[in-house]
Amino acid sequence: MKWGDWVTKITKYSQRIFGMLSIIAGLGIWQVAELKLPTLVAGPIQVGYALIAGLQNGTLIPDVFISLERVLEGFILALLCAVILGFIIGWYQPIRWILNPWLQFLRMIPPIALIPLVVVYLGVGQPAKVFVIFFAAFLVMLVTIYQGVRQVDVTLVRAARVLGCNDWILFFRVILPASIPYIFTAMRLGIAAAWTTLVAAELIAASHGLGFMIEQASNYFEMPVVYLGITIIGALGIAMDRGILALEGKFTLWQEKIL
Amino acid sequence: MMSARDDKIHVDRVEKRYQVGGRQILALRETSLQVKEGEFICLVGPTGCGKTTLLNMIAGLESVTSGKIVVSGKEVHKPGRDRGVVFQQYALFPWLTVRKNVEFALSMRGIKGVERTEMAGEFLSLVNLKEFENAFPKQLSGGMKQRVALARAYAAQPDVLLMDEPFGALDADTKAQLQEDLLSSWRQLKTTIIFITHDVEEAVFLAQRVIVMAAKPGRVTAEVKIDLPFIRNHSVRFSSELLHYKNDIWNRLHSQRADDDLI
Repeated sequence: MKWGDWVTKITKYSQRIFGMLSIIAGLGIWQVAELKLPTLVAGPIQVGYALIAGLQNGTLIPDVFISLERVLEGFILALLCAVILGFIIGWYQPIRWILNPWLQFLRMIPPIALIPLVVVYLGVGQPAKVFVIFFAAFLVMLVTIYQGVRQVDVTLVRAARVLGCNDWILFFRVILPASIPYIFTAMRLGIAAAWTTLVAAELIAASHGLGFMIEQASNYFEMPVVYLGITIIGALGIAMDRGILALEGKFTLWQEKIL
Repeated sequence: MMSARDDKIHVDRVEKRYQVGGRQILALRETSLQVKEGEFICLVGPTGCGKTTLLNMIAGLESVTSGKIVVSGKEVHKPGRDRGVVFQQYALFPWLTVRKNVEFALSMRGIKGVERTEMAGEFLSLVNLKEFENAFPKQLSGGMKQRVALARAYAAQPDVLLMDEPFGALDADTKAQLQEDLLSSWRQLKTTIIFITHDVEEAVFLAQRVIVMAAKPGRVTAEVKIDLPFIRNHSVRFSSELLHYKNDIWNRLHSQRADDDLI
């Protein structure tokens, strides 16, 4: 192989190579931190053992699943509501004027601040957590989807009208597909909001789930389990984000993109 | 006996005013216009002469301030399938393939299934784009996009085709080709066409009648009947007759500008 070919090849894979190097370096620093502060930090190797132990004694998987279940329930509910309401307020000005002050107000409240109230009204069960997640994801997505509806090209709407579209067809066949890129951006923001809120909610009031697992382990000073919980949360968050990105790629092939 | 009923489009003493920041702007001074069935007319005029406003009002996309517009005997209040519009910005649905864009228009007519697919193919053949039926709009050049937009407009089978500077963004060669194609489709489909342009040569080449407009306020200042052969080709484009009309209309446009300066 000629020198030029090597350069091409390296350039082609350079994103992956840099990514791998970065991960390896990070793990290394983490391991060194454990060596320096052995009682406070659990390194990647210890976390690996904790993972195996968790899988073997059967406590880890249920905690992961219950967290995922809560987040998906809250997220999907929020997505449906955000799409519907986003279209309504994007399309009907008076409704926008009525709802806007409230949405702006609610948007600025951290979902965690609602937990005491939610516990009073909904208890500490599944509905309480799903509600908090719903609240977090819904407002983030609503704002983005609303922006998407507002930016739909007027000429496309006119073109559809002159072809004989009524409001209903216009919504499903023009406004909705034209907003798809915004809906996916909303989903990425929404899942991140949902996931981070979930863990916070579980840290405060839960008897299962990843947040609970971390909370309990820290009470017993089981640092490997604490680090394991944090690592799993981050990894699953990335996985969900990548999942949405992959879906987006499929659904927006038609879009003109930079690069 | 000629009467208003013989006209496909009757613009009857229509006026358009806007409110912009508390000031009233007269976009189109009281204007009347009759277009016969199957006629091809061009509106030419400078920016701000109200030609797009007039077209949008006929399409039903904008309301009239006073007067009325009657198309096929019915007063216009909102957009309808009987009046197709071709926009300068193509206005193709980017998430649909070329064929699906045409099928969109057919589905609005209630045509379904295999029949719809086949008809879409025919309309794409009419604009010579059959082989690109599965491409997305972003993969096409400007001229090709406008062909798809035309196919889609034809597919809706409108009685009247309203075209708002459809070739304005295209290069000269593509423009000439599309003009000739448009004329041959028009001769086949016998649609009534109102075509907006600020290119005088384009107006003369295409139209049977050219309506000359002026700005501040928007108004019609002249009507020129174009007596060129029915079949217009390359030799017509460079004929002395065409040049003569072009000169005439150009002078009319410019004398108006001089008048405007005096006002």
